[in-house]
Amino acid sequence: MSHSRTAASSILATLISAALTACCVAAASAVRAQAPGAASPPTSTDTFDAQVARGQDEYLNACAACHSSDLSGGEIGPPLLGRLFNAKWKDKSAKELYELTRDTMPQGAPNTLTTAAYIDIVALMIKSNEYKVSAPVTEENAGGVVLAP
Amino acid sequence: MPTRKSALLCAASVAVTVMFAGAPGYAQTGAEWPSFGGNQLGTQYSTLTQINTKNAANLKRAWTIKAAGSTPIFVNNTLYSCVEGIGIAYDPETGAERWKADPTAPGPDGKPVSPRRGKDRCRTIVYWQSKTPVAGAPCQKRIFWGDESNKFYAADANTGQFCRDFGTAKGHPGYVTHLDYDNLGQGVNRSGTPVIAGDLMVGGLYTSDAGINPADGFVRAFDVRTGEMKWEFDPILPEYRNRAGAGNIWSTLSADAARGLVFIGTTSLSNDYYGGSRTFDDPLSDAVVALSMQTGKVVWSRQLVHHDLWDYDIPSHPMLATITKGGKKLDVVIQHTKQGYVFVFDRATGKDVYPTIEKPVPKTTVPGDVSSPTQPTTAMEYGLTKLNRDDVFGINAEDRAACLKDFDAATNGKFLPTSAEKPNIIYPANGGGSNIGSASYDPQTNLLLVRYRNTADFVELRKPPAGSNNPHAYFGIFRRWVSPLGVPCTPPPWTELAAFDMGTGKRAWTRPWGQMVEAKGKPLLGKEEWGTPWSTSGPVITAGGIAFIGASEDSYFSAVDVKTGKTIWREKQELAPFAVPMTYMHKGKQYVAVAASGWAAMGQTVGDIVAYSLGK
Repeated sequence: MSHSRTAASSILATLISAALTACCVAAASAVRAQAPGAASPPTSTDTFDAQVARGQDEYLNACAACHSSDLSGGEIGPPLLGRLFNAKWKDKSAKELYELTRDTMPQGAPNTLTTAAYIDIVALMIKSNEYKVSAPVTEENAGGVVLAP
Repeated sequence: MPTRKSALLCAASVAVTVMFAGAPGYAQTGAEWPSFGGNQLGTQYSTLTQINTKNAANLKRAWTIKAAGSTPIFVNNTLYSCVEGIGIAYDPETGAERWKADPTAPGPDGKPVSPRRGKDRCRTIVYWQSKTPVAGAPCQKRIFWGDESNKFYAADANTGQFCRDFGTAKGHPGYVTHLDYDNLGQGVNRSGTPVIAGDLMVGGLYTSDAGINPADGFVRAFDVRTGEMKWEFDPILPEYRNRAGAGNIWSTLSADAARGLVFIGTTSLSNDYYGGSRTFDDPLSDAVVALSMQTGKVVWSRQLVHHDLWDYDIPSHPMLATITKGGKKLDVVIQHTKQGYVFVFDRATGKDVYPTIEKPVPKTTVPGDVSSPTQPTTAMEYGLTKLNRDDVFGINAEDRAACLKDFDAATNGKFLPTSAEKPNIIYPANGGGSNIGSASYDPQTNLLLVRYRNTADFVELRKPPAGSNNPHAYFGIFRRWVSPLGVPCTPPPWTELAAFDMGTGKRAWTRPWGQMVEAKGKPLLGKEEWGTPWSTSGPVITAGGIAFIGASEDSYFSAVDVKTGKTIWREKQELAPFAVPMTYMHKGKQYVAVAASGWAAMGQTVGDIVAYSLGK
């Protein structure tokens, strides 16, 4: 029925399936959204480069399957850098990019990473697009971080 | 191995008695084009001849629809398209909009069908009409389309009013959704592309097979009138459903209503590139599967990749053609593939029409994984098959040096599994070879045209970071194998269009297709003989002897002579027509139309639909 999962992290859900004239009931366990633990929240000693490095790990784990490991896009995930990305995001804020990413990604399971992970991935996108940002991005300051080349 | 936590109490596929009629009369190409690929058989062929090899050079723009979505279908004297969850009807003579069926707009009762709709592109829209219409009643002719919010909507094909009898039993009149059912995992993204089979609308569940714990690749059949789910099919054998997900059908489907069969092509199980979590028998992944229209049960299946370690999903609908071989007409299933083979099976039995050869392939060395000793192949092969160091490409010395550095750091080879120690250059790439809608069959010449790529991916296996929710021992990451400038490291031509004679299985002709115009977002013009680095979709053929095709980043829409492969006519579009075209006849005039709206993989989702004809 459902997929690879550990006892500690899975939530048992019994679901009624396929209720037709001849009824069929399947008891299933289903993994639901789990928060990954790889990203640690930024600290006062955090640097933008350290954030980008964390974002790289998070990105490879959660995003690269569709967008490719170098952000250049795959068969279904659009590129997260270059002309078209820049046309969409230039002069907007890191907060807008964070919120859209959080609310839509990973596709089919939005808002399942930690806030810190999303922010770190945004930092990676900022770095990859050579936007002029040098201080760590935080949830608090993201509204004032402009995506300007 | 993971502990199984659930007991399967009964089979997921449910046999239900459903009445079926024979092949519907509207499933014929000609004046109409009622479905993606022409009709439910999906041969991407039209019998129209008004536009032909002698006059195609005179094609002129007939109409343009701006801010549009999918390539339309034409039926019921109307063009239908869908974009971002909205179904739209257009006038076939002018392209003028007649009405919109927006699920978020208030209905007659003041309430919307849905508070939200998907904002992604829509692949196609499908049409059904009742054989026993009730005079004066609404929704005797219906259109259906899916969206990113995982709904299949139904609207009256005459008025655009949503069919409120569809999905009512589930509490949402106007649509059905896979989300009403247990999908056994996460990442239930888009509803797949539906197909009409008799009085059923059959649609797959489009999930990410690359994900950590994706849903199973369910296909569900819904009654076209009520939306009642008549059967469901799960490609994963019941005893293994707690160990892997996906095997989903993200591409198009086909149906042979006269035989009572629905045809699907499944993807790999999760996850891509590493199979240590799925070292069990999974004959219905990466398989062509013929399902009974009546029950959803498997009538026959052929697995085309065993224990997939390359992300070689079946990328396109099984094409239901009638070819000529040995002087006989044969009803077959043609399946083109990412890994670069054309397979041909008897439609009723699934037996080989051209031999499938199980070829020995290298073993995986990754701990915990067990690869298949052989892979299915045929003599109709395309795409890159071998890569020597001397053949590594570079548009200049610096670029070539970077590509050679990658080459030297990695393993490479067709069907070579990626090791845990070194990156691997995989070819054909995970986009193919061929991909969705890449082929069309011409019964007049007995030729199968296939558009395919000769590019590669650069793949590495990684261990999930500490604390990750990823239960697999490894996961694969990929990038397109390109130089620092963004040019493929594989030798050109990067895309080709080829014709295979289905009477002999031999190639009739091969030509480069398209042209490089930019790399990494910067202008960079390639030589014509290099072809386009990035392409998807493919041609439709007409009885006028023409293959109409876009499928290139250079944005041209072209008419090609089917017999020779030579370009007869082409015109540049604002955005590239990376979609399968269509053609129809209205008021004595033949039109050919295509969505020229770019490619989602390039960040483009909305653009023009353009149509051409032989002038006023």
